[in-house]
Amino acid sequence: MARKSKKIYKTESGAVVHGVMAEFATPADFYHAAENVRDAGYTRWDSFSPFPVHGIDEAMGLPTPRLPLVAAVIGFTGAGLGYWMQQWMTAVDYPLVVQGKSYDAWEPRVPITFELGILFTAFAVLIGMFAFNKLPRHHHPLMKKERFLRVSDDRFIICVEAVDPRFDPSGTRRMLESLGGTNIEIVEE
Amino acid sequence: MSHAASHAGHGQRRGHADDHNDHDHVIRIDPASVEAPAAWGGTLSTLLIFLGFAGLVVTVFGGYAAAGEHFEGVIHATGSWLVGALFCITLSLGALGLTMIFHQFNAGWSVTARRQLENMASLFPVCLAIFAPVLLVELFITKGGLYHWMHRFLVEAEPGAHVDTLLVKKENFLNIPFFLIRAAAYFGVWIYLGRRMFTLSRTQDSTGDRGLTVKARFTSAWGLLAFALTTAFAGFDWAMSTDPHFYSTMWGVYFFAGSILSATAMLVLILSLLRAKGKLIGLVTDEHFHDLGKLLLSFTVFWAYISFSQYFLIWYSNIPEETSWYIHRRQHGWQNLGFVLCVGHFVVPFLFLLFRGTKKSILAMIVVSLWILTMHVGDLFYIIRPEVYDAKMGLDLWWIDLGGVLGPILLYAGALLRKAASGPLIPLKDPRLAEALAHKNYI
Amino acid sequence: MAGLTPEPETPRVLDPITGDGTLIDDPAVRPPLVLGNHSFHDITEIVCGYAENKPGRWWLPAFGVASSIAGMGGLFILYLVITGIGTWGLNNQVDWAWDITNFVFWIGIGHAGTLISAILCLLKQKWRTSINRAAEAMTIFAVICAATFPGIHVGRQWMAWMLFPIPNSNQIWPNFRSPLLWDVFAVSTYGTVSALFWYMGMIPDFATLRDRACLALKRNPDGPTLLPFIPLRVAKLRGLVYGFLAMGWRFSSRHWQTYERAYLILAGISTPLVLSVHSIVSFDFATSVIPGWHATIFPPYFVAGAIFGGFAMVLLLMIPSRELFPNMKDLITLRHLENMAKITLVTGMMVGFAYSMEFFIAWYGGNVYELDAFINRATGPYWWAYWTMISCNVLSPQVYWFKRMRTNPLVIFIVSAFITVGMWFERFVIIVTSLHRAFLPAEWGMFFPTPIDICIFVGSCGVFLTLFLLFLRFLPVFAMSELKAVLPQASPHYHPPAPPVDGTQAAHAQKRGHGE
Repeated sequence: MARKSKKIYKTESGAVVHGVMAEFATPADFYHAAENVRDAGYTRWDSFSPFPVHGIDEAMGLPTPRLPLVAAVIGFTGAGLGYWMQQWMTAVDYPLVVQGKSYDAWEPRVPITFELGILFTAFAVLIGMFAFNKLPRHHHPLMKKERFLRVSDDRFIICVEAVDPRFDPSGTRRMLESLGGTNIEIVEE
Repeated sequence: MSHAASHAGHGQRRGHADDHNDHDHVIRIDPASVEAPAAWGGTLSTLLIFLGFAGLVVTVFGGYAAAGEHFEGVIHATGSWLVGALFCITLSLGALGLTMIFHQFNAGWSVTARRQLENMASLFPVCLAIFAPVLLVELFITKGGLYHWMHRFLVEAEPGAHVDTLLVKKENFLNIPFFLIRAAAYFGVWIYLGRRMFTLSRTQDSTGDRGLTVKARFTSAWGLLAFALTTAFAGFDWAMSTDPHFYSTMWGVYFFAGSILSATAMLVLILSLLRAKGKLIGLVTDEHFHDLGKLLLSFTVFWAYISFSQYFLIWYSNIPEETSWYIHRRQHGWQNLGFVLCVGHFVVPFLFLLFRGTKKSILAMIVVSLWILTMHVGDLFYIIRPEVYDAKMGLDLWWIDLGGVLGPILLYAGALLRKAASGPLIPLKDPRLAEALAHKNYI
Repeated sequence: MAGLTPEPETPRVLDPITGDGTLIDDPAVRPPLVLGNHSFHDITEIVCGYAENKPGRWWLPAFGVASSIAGMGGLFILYLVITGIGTWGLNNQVDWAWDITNFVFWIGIGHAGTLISAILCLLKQKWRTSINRAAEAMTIFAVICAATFPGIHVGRQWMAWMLFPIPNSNQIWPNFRSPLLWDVFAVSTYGTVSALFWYMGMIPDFATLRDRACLALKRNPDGPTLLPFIPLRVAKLRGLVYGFLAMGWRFSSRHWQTYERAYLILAGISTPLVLSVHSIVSFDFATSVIPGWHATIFPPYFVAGAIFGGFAMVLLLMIPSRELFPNMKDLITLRHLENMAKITLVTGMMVGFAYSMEFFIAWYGGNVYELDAFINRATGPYWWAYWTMISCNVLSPQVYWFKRMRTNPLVIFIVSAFITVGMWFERFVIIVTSLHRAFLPAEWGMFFPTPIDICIFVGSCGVFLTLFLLFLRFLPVFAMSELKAVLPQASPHYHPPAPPVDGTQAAHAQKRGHGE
């Protein structure tokens, strides 16, 4: 993510502002609003929808996730470990004659090598998904908003964070309004 | 948007997926984009056909020049020719299977790619013409050079003579009349199915009748059943019975796996060449290539899975009739070819196709599809060649192999280009065309 | 593409059977995936309703019966552990019978879930969204049932640690050339990866349930309590449990992007995993030299059989659920059933293909033992098992060639029941008929199940049903976020149908021409 601004905004009651959130009625409005927020040059913002809206990553200008690479590296490592384990146990540590075939035969090692490769990849994918998303996370300022809890049902929300260098409480609010956002609220930290 | 295809009325909508709420729009397609390059139907295909014939002439000449006491040279030449012929047959077979599978899945995204498969599937008469000389030479000249079970002396006991007991048992299946009847039946089924898929689709180009798609779907339902049986038995007859002692229940699936992989590679190759020539703009996009690449990847893995399972079970159980097939291929230098196939037929394309970037690059796809097709030749070579003649013969007559393998392939390629040039490059009025044009992978 | 074609804009003849376009065969029209014009909110209400509201009156009795059967099975397993596997009908000739039959049967059923989730996901078959969750759940429960059998069949169950790569008292490692050891790795990997896949799919739905519980608690802090007199609110408990499982998911698009990629990779690796697991199970038999077991086609044949049996089980479970739960027919339409029926027909034919290949090669190969094994299957003392298998697996799905049959839930249910029986018999035939006529006549014998055999198998069915009933009651039975995504209004380029007034069409078209 792009750099943070050091400016701190506070509400009248003295709470630190996390950002401004606006609600959109349909995926279409939401999508166009995202495109416009991206074009307005904001970088520290996020959008929330009950399901992944097709193409929203492009509309938001998100970078390609690096998860596949991580998964591939860990997966191949797992497979390699699987092969090495069998090689070491059956041909080095306690060589065992089975069927009179060569100790070093690669053929019978394929099943376990494969399975361990898959197992490692699967864990890499799940843990990697959490890690890249910075989850699990106990709480988030947005969760305090009752309106935000409806995202999991049928609402579409965009939230521009106060740490964005272009953030400006009234300007950002006006922009979200002009994009068709409703129920615009300040989110407190 | 520089799409050659556009919707009449609201052209600017094009390019947005999911956006075809109404079906009554007319899709406008730039005719130049769906026409094969002029050379394909003319000079290029003529050149390929000429080179193909030249290759076959070299093979025939080599066969006779090297013909020894027991027709060793002729057997060598027919063996190579058989590899080339099987290559063409498996391409058409894979294409036929894939077309019918797409119909059965009601696939929308692949519509614009399907025509090239239909072209390949309609080429069974060419395959027959390429394959028939092998059978004729085998029946009338070498008489059991490729298919040892054709030797009468192996099954008919003369007093005191050595008889191959297994072949006597197999005589009910492996005998010349039944073999020919079966071959006729396979080609009958394939020519019919291939023609039908091709005609239904071409007719739709002019009539736009949606009922034809329903008919194609129905034909593919029973067609796939007939296809599965004929493909498996053709594999037994023409490839597996070159070692008449060997048997493997997996063989039919193995033959099919190679077919469908190579047909997909050929499809990708043709589409890449067309795109490189500036055709099919907006009709076959990067998104289609991404999915075709995924298909190529999964068929590569499928081939590896099937051929490994077959090898592995035979290796593990060590039953003489079966193991001898692989033992022969782990000696006399054939093990090198086996190693090349492990790496080249599986590891290299697998790693190469794992990346998203390669699947979307035309150049990379041309390279990988050519590579896979070459490896498929290697696979067939590995099946046929160690059986046909004395392994010690080695590669000193390599030019016969080259002519015998490349001749049929070039002929086939020429015929394929002609076919592609004879009509539009996509099914123009397929009811799912809009869906294929809007195709996009979101994740 | 997006699946549903909005009705007002498609003045086509809807299919005559349902009248709602579900079974339409026009290739230009995609049938709707969700019926009843539901909004996003409706989907949430329907699916969360299954987990939040009291189930129908049938649920508790059904649960009672299923869990009693499971408990009975558990007691019989205890008896088996105390007494020894001599209580089964095994003998010197047939030393593997129902134990491994049940194992392969259950692990096979466990394949449809991952198939639906993974392979259909890769093939972009959007109809999978309404059945994948239940099928994945079924997978995990079936794997649990399956894993029980090899665990208890080892005789001295307390030595089960020897299954793992731990050196024994002589410092010898387990035999890595034994297919049984590969099974340990394959089945445990499969169980783990399926569970991860299942769990990852549920994260957003857990978050929905969590948020609904929080909202309910905010609106009504004095909601119902779990037990009388103890002030533990049901909503609070839900919020805690579902909240824990949701891991702080907040539906961010940035998260969705990684999540979808992760889901795709899991689908991508699960596909070869499904194939490998049943292939490895088939290696248990195919690596041997026993006639009838050593066939190179076993790996893909077992995989096809597993998908076949698994789909039959999905249908067996979903058809009654559809009747019993409100609104479920809108989510699982007749089209879904028809598609699954078609898949059972195809996989049934694949299995039939494998049967005939085995028979053909046994004859063609010229190996007397092999041929004898197959003739013995069809005409020997276990002929009835063989012909049950053939008629259930190959013949019964043939009714699906007729559209009327494959769109009739009752017919599908009956055929699926036949298939389930047939697939059990397939494994029985493979295992028992090959063992009961080995190479030496001294090894010839018969197997008869004892009541313990039967009770433990029935008990495993009870375990399976109990877990499935719990799933239906407490977890999100449908992938809500995926269902919402296949609704037509989910597309960012969707615009509600225009009113049919002249002149508005152009304006409408102009309005939608955005973002070029």
